[in-house]
Amino acid sequence: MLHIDSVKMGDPMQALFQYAGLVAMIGWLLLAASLFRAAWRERLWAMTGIGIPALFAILYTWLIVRHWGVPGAGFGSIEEVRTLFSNDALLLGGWVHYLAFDLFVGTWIARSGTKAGVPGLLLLPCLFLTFMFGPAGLLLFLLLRLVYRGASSTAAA
Amino acid sequence: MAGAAGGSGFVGACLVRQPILTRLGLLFLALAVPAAAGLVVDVRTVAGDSAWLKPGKFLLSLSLYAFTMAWFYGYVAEERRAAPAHRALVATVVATSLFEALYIALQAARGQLSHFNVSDGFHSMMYSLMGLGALALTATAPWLAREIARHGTPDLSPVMRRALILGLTLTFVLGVPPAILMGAHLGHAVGGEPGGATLPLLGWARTGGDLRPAHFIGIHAMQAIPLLGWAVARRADGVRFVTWGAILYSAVTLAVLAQALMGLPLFPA
Repeated sequence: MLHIDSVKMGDPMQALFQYAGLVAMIGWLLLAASLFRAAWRERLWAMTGIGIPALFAILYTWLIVRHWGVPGAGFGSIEEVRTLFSNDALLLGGWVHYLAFDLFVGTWIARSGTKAGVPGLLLLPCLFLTFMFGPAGLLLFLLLRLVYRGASSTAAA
Repeated sequence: MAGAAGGSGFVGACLVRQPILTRLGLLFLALAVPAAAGLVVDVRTVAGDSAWLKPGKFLLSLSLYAFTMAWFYGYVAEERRAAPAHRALVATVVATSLFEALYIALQAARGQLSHFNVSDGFHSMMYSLMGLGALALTATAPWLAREIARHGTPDLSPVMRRALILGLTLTFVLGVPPAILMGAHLGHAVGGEPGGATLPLLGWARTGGDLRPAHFIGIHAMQAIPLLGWAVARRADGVRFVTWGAILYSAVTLAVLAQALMGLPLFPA
């Protein structure tokens, strides 16, 4: 799916994009596994919630610091943002930003959902949606947590 | 919502009986409000009705289903409610009903069909998944009936016990066949004029057959038969009363279904 072999030597951004995607994919698989392996949970969440996002944060910061300063680029208007993303290095930075924060949010969903007593099979679609469409997965999880929250404490009382 | 847990009244009682399903019912009720607003402010139509009529009806129906199931959990022995089977039963209701509601709402917002949409591979697959989801959701009613039959509370009267088991089972037995017919037929109309007169809000056809009334009557057996049981609970012949009531209810549902299949409207224009 990621065609690592086909990376051309002359396109470092394309290569970084593919390595970042591979790392993110591994992170999401570990996160999915954490739902069903209580014994590994804390260790897996340390990787998906801290380790991998930190790697992405380093890559992101390096990209931004190294390539900031495109004329006419900024955050003030759609036109400025479009100009910002016309630069491949900054576009990759934006993409890594997604990868980092989506995985971070995904880890929070797994942690918070497990704590609220939401079954793993119901959390799985939330994680998939967060992986694909970020905030839509968060929204689904917030609805689910609304339904499940406090239920375990009520049952125990 | 948390405040209601300590309070009295129907919602408070439901929260004690099954908190997750009660919250689910409240969520669907809350989501019905924007759907009702859409009914008023969004002029787009899907298959002749306001785009928001269908999500509104489904949200109210799913809310009633969740509340009814939560209420009936009060008839499962308390020590049994913590069993893993109940976690699975509740999770099935939550997963399938949320899936149905969200996909129906999403398609309505896009001004597209949800059920009967076989326009391309993705929509066909989603339509099949909706059928499976609805089947699993409806199957949780007889599933709960089995739990009440085997692990009912000790003080459950024979009349209510019979009414709950028959009502929950009939919801599946009577509700599913019209749904399967609609699925196979890719629609709910049997004859009649396209765009002809319909009932307000329900949208049922008045110029030809419509499979939805039979589905509606069938799936509401889980409310109707227990209500009958509650009404006759003090009668000495209450159990027989409930049994005959359920037979009559089934006959009426089948008659309404037969009439629809003959292409005749339930309420002619």
